[in-house]
Amino acid sequence: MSTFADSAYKLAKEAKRTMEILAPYNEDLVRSICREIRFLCSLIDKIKADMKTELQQNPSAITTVLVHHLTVKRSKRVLMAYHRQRVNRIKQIIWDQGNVLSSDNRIALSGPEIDFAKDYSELMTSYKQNFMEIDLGGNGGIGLDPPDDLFIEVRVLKDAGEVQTEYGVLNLKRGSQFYVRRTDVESLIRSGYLKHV
Amino acid sequence: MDNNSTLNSSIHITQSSEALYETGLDDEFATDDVAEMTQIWINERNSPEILPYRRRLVEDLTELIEHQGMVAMEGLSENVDMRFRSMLYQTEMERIKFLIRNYLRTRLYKIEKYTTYLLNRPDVRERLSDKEYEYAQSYAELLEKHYSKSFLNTLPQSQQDVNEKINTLSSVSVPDEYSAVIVRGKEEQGMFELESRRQYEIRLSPESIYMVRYSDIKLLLEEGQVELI
Amino acid sequence: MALPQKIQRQFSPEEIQFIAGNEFISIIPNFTLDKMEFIQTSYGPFMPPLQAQVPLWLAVALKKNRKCSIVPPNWFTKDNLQALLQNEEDHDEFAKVPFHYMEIAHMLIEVAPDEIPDIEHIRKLLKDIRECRQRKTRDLLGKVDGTRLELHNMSRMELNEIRPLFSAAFNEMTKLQFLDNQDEVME
Repeated sequence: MSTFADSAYKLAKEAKRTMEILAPYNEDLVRSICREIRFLCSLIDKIKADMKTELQQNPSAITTVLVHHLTVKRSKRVLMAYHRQRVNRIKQIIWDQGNVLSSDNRIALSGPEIDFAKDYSELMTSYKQNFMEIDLGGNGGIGLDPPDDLFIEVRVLKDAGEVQTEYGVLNLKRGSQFYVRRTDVESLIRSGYLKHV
Repeated sequence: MDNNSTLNSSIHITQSSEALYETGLDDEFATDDVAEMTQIWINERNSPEILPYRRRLVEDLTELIEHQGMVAMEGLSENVDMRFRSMLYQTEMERIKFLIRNYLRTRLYKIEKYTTYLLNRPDVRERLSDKEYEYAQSYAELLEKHYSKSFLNTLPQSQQDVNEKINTLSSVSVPDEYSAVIVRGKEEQGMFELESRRQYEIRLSPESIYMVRYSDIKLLLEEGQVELI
Repeated sequence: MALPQKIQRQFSPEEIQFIAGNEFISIIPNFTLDKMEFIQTSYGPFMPPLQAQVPLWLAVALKKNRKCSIVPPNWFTKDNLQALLQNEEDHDEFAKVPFHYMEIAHMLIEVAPDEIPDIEHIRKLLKDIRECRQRKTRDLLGKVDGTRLELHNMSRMELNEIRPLFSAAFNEMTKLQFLDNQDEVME
């Protein structure tokens, strides 16, 4: 009887182990748990059908039905938890990195998960359209950290041509000074074109 | 909204050290949307359930940001002075955008966590904006579709219900209204008896900070008499 | 997730710092600038050498761009912090402190170390005050009983720090009370 719950137990353990990462979808385990559930349900149905034809209630049959029933419920809970945990992971990657469908990640996802990722991305994008001015971030864009050290004054040390920033185009001529977003010019500072004044 | 609000001009010869003991949310800021948005965001982060959507606040601030954005843009191609002012305006704008962004995403998080629960409770549903409600419905659909395709469809008919009760354990996530929150009063309002434990009282005052059950102060929060920390 | 794991149960230190950015502080501008219309309110005009009261976020932006010096608040002196430490050590309750004292101190030390006399002394005092208050929070944990807990005079940063542990303890006590109540009903 307990062997029927083995697969569910294994999946539960795997879910626990892979809480922090996106492990490959365990198609085999999921399928075998579903098979078990179907099998147990058919056992239950059979016992119930048999019971109807008997003149007395068979206590041991009732117990058997109960145990099967609880096993089914437990297996279902494990399936739900496993899938829900992965869904949360997928959502997190979509918000933080945006590349859930990169080749690395794709391998780890099941077919339905790939569909979910696409659908969820679309849903998120469509909701974000209502707040373009605010920019809700996600897809590897602006995160949820508070703004910090946004703007610095820089002097141009070497001619660097034109640079596009969110607030306009800057002509980086040697000797000129600008207030710019730090993020726009970090690499230019590092490569020596600009100096933080 | 009055931009040239009653805040006194910033030229003070003497510093006020008292001011540093205040929260910065005194009476002069009665129409201070930014201060209010800040506290609304803090409340939303701390509360276990989703709070009523503050449409006017979000819309007004968004409009002000749009307008200020244009002002800031104009300053870019002018002299150093203008560019500097523009930079300061942008700094403030980013702060307000952060508030609204974090507020909206916090609510999305709760909507995703408690989708089924809130779609089935009209009193909770009405705390959502129209867009949020649409989002909740779409999310519920796509989640159900996903579970069906992943495993539910392969199970016998009788087992295909996602939301079921097993004894008293429901698989539907519900906000825990008994969870702890940290709270203080916004004004001196005397003593207040706790719902759940009648012999216990708290003092409603900005000086008095408590950890209590959310359910005990839920109504006070709704009425704006307390704030979460 | 729309909200990352690390901030689902508490604020990040950066967020607490952000909130503290709304506190007011005095600056001495070293430039002249006309009145500015911000979204929240207007500030300025700035006319050296007159002091101005501005929110911390603005003071920090100005200071980082070398446009002002910051005037540390009254409480942020060696003597006053010494008195505060004494006060903390002499009493079991938390001494009254500015609600954002840690964040303000942190920002001042970070952006204006040159404007703080006795900075090393002050750093040490802040550390001692913090530790003394931390000892008090440890004692506080024992008082959690699931009804209500007094947290008067704790600062926002400290409240945020104790939140996960204390909430968990509080919620446990709440559950136990429910079980007790059920037992009573059964009897």
